Amino acid sequence: MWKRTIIGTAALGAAAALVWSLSSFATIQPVGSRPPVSLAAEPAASPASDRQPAQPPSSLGAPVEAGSEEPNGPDPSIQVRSGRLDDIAIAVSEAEPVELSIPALGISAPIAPVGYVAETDEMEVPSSAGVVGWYQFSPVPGAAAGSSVLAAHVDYDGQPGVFYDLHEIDSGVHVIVRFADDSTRQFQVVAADQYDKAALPVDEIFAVEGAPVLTLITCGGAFDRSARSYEDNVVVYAAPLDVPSSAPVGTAG
Amino acid sequence: MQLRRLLLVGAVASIMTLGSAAGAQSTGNVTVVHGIPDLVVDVYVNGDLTLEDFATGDVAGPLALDAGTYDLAITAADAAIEDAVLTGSADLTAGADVSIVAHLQEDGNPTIGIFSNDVSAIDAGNGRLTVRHTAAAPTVDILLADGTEVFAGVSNPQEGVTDLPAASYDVAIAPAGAGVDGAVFGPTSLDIPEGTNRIVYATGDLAGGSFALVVQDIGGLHSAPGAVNTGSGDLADTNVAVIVVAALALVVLAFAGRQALARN
Repeated sequence: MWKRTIIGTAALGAAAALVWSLSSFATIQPVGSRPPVSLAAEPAASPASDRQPAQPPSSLGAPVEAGSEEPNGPDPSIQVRSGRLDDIAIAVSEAEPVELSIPALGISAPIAPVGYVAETDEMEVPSSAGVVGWYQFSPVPGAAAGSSVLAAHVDYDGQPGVFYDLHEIDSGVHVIVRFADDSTRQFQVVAADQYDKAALPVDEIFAVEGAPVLTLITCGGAFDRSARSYEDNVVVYAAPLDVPSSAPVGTAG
Repeated sequence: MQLRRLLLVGAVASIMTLGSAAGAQSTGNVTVVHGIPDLVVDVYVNGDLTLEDFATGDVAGPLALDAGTYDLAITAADAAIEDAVLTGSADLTAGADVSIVAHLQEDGNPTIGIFSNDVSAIDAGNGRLTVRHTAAAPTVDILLADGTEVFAGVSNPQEGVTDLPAASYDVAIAPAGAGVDGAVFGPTSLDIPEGTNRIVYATGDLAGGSFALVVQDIGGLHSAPGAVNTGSGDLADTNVAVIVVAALALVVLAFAGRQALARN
């Protein structure tokens, strides 16, 4: 479905022609001959103090202040930035998470970035029982907003996975993420839930906005042999505990 | 020099905006993009100075504006509104997301263009690339470094839109049919962020050396994966454990029974 076909010449031409005609870049005329512009929403000619503009153009320009001798200034609330490619290309490189530790469960495992599998509409998961996958399109753990998603197998290829015991986790347990620059971030478990896979609240779990949370996911419940899959997801939510630590913490034991 | 030409041209562009009407919304989003080279301007909306010292390559917004008609006037920086070099009006539809772009036409004359932005949800793992030809330049192809055509035969003021896996791409712009080897720009690295419509404007005057890419991002269009499957075996199946326990119990019983029989 994502494979919206790249618009070919003909289609592009047609679409663009449509845009063009609808856009109606009307005939260019000399300024002198333009018709008087309608200033219906412009209250400048009458005292602004005795009425509210019926349709204030929100955010547009500074409100006209009664009795003000100052000309309107530009609206400082409008965000203006350079869109030049050279300026936007300087992406802030955040250190990626490289290791997850949950001492209370004896968990210490490497983290690898994973993506999305379009064919199955699933989050990609590591091809290993011993690796935690960080959904690379979710915020980095500890980011200011959104849900950072880490998933690991409950079992894989006949071996217990990193999150084999995740369902046993208790509230208050500390979760530690170490980053590529050796900094660490601590989290504390605040909630856990088990969902039927069909009812997994994916829009919340994969939210990129809202309160920051570290979300740990694995499988649970009964194993459906025909589908080769567990029927439930176990989801653990942990809140960031502190400011980022730049000093390495002995998390790996 | 560009300024002089602008002042001489002094134009009125009357603009109708696009935009699908949306239900409850009463506002539309407007972003203003400056794609005319070597010119600092002030932008007036409905007679109010709205953007001051707006420089080439700048992107302002988005502004959530009530649906309605807006009069636009662009002046050289600090010039009076009466001396506007470009004027026009825009009808903004509720729910629309539009970009108002001051740019050059293929022949180098300035104009105000308006584009409707695709803000529909993007599938998980993907980003959206929108390319808009708003430069004084001939028809071009947009190519990847390996020669793959992304958009073919794009003329000012056409656009191309496609969703593709979020990643970094080496992108080149070449005159139509010229191929990567004939590229007039790039290949250069371009990130397509997940869940974002990255709109790339080709601006400036190719022959005059002021050709440049300007980028506007519209984020927040991301979708979540549908599922997370993190188990391939039945090691953790609680039901299986029950069965195993039951089976073990049967074995024990059977064994005990045989022992009992043997004793008899």
